[in-house]
Amino acid sequence: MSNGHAAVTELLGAWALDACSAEETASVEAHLAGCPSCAAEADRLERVAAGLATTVAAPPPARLRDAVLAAAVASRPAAGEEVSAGYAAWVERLDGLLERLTPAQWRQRVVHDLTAQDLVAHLIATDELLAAQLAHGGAETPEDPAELDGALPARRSAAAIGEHRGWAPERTRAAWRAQADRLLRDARSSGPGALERQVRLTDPRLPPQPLRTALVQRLFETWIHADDVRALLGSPPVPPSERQVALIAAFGARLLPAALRLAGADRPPRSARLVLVGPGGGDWTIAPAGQDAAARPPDATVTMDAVEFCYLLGNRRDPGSVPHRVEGDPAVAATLLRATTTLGCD
Amino acid sequence: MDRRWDQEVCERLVAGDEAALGELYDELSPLVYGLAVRVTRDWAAAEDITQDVFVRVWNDPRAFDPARGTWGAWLGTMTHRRAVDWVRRSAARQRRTADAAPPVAAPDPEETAVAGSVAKSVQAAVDDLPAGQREAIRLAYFDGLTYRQVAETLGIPEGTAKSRLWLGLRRLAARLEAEGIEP
Repeated sequence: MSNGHAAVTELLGAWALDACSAEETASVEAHLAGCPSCAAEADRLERVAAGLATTVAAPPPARLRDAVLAAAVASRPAAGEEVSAGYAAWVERLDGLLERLTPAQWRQRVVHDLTAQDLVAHLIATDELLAAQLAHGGAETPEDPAELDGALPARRSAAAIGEHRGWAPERTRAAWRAQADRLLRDARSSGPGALERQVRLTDPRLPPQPLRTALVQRLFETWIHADDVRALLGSPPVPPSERQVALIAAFGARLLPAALRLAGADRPPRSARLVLVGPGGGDWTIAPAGQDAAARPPDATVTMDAVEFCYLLGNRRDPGSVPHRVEGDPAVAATLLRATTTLGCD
Repeated sequence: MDRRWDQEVCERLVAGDEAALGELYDELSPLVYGLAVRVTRDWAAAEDITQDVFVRVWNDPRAFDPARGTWGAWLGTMTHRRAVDWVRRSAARQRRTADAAPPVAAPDPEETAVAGSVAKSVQAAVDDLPAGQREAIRLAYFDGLTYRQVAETLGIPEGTAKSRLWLGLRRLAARLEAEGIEP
């Protein structure tokens, strides 16, 4: 080290006060990178120097707050805005696809014995579960045990499908679109911090989540149904963007422990590592709540493509045949993949 | 404000939670802005620096390491560096342009300073420093001078300026640590 310990030590005070020349600053920092004892002393002096700022604190003009937050969000969109913009884009896309359907195609079976019109009616029912929470001002719904009924979404969906079978398809489409637009407006108009409010997801038995997580579920389900309609039209699938895949994958990983619990597959407690590869992928440890995931190695590691995981989440892939690789206990992996399909839209 | 808050705000910023940035701003914008005004003595520059610091934090929250100190210390360090850069750039500009107007004088924010309990302890510790160290630190930290400029201003050798800054900061650190104060 050309700049010896002693030379740097006597510069540390000036360095911590930003009172060195550019060259001296560079040479001090080069020394700190390789000298833990000087680095610790430098940290300490830098913290004290910064503490001097407390003696001159003065509130900025009030108008600066909005300007700073707006400039920040313009440079890196807030997660909430990213999610609501993504959901809005998929609503727009699905609407465009529905516009192209002929009367015969509206009545054609698309998936799970449902026609295109049935699918949209089903989407109206699941969107409504969130839209109603937002319309009541507070996303915080009163804890009503009767509402914690896992069959509720299916009942609502069946009722909507029955009702809409007597409607002109265009009317079904308009009703879905109007409700989706209202939902977005309500989500966006509630101001900063609103996306952190707790709401219930489609399955009311899942633990309440921040509104932005519920919007990821809406984005995800709207994409899946747009994909269904695209297949009906003979158009190739369009996957979500890389960022959206990442949001959907994180949504799935976050809720998998609860899905395993609801499926009664959490006893004995097992942990798994989920490795999603390709754009939007990531690496998660799925462990029962309260278990320290880092404490022991996972019982199984499941590796698969991130977009395929999103399809699996939407119950549009068979857990037995979706391409994936397992290390460790195959039964734990199979349970995880089955539980994944229950977090989707059906 | 405890360390849990520092950690939690950091995690929420990483997750893109705009409300966390709002909380951080509400808590620490007086520190950032007050320091920027004091060092630059320029309202507009202080606003620019404040914006720059919070936008930077929003874009790269992982640069903050809660294990190494508080948000206050981290933002104070970021702000000071920017303010000092501004002072040195503006001094260079003025040397180049003979008719340069003096910077817009801002009222001394020390008069309107927010007197928090940490601030009072820090101020008391500063007041108790030997006069030579106190003056050297004031010139370097609040006026943005280099230690060479401090030496020149005080008419002392550069080596003396360096050691006054170092000894003064160490004395402050020891006293605040003894009092259990973490700015």
